[in-house]
Amino acid sequence: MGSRDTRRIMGPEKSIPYSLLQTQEKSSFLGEDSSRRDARSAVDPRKYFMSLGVISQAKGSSYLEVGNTKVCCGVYGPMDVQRGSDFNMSCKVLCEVKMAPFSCLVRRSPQPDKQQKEMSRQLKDALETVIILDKFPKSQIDVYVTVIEDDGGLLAACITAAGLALCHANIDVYDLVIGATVLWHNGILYADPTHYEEEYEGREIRSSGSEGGQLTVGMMPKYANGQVTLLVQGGQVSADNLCEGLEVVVEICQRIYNLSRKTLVEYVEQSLEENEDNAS
Amino acid sequence: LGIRVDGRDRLDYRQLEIETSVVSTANGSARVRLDHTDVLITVKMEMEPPLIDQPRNGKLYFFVNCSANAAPEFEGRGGEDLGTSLSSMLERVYSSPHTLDTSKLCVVPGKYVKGLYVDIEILECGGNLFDAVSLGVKAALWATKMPRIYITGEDGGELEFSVSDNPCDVDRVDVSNAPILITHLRITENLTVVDPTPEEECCGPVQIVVGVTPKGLITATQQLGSGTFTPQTLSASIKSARDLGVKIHQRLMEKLRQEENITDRPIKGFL
Repeated sequence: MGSRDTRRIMGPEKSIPYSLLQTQEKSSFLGEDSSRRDARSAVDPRKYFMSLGVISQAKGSSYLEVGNTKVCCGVYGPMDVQRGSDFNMSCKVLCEVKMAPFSCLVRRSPQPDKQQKEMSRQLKDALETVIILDKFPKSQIDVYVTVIEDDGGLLAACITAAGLALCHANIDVYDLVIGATVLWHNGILYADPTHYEEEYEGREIRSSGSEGGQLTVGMMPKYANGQVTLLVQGGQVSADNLCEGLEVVVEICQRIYNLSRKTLVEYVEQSLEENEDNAS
Repeated sequence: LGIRVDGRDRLDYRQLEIETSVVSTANGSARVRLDHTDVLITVKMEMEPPLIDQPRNGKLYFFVNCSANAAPEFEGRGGEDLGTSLSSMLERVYSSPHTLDTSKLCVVPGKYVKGLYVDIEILECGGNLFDAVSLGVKAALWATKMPRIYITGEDGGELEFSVSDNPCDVDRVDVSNAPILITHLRITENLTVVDPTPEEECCGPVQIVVGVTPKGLITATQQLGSGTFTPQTLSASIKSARDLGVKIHQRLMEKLRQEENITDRPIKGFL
């Protein structure tokens, strides 16, 4: 099923990951002392690392690490649209999220699967909102995101990386777009879940009344007093909890926004210094 | 003024017609007509080996076909984007264990489970596809009658099955927690409307689709389109979607049960 990949040597068709054969140990969401497995409190986000200009060929690029989730984004454009017949007064955005085969515990196929296509589409929707499309008629902007390691909060990391890369590429945007994720489990809100926490919540069998779920939001914190460009929610949560979670996510985005701006300013200062050094 | 072009209030739905069991070759089917939006949903059951890491769970597949009949822009591969976003949304909604208990679809753990193939055919696109499709999927799953399968014996390692011929000896799908989707279209800063017509959809760039369970819980929300929402508008839309959703669920189940109780119902179908 799917197209046969004749260029690569695929593993045997009947291979299964060995982790399925291991004995399933009884696992719990929280660690021994009822705190989260990585010793964070419920509302602490993970450590962020951002850096710009990692891909020299790209117009703009960024590398983002959120805990163990590692995402790299490259932006190319604005360039002429391939097929000259598509005359469009606004820019076309082409977005592709690719997960490296080694990014998850179970090896992923190199061909994009449904999850990747869905993320690409969601990211495209979010970025079309952020980029001032009317400034680039008859052009195309390509955004390529590569996921090097997936440890939870993936879509949010992709959005943040793409936002940074767009700014680095000097593409006109309304604001820097930031993504964040929260998770509900047993009535408690956890900020920035890890892959283990997301999987655990996803597999939990619930009755029709109990709650648990996940929310990913991409937003522009400063533009017009905060605008949400992307919202994806899964699981089963009551409306009030969802609205409360939305407020928490907005706050987290604000914090990450400050960090991102600092990174961008530092990068500009550094490159100015280098230019001065080169000139003298 | 507070009223829309066709005289509706902000939160009013257009006239909705649902009919089940219109297709006799499928295990379950439903046809939904929401003013000009016309969708046909069929459910077929097949036996197949389960996923390796979930040996006791049945499977649910969603395929959406936007035919060129529905709207001129669907010609060729134009409808593919809309189709994939619709099917991904439905898969997300129905993939969590609390929506539909897929362990009831198990026949022989580890060997055979029932796979339900839900095929959605968009016959005419008159705005608000997500809502119509989700209502139809719930109705079609409700109407699905899967013949009971009995394991009669073992013959050299291979199990033998017999499928019941009795039309009353059927398994039903439990849709008591299946959600429906409600679409809010944002027109201006704080104004959202429910159930947009195609003309209204052109006015507003962004929609939020909220999945609401019969108990009033929110599942699988997604923002679609290139536009933004303020957090306040989002909260308001989610809350009003929840209220609407609970009401619609009640009415839907009422009508579906009524429909089932009509003996020797003449199937109106496409006439």
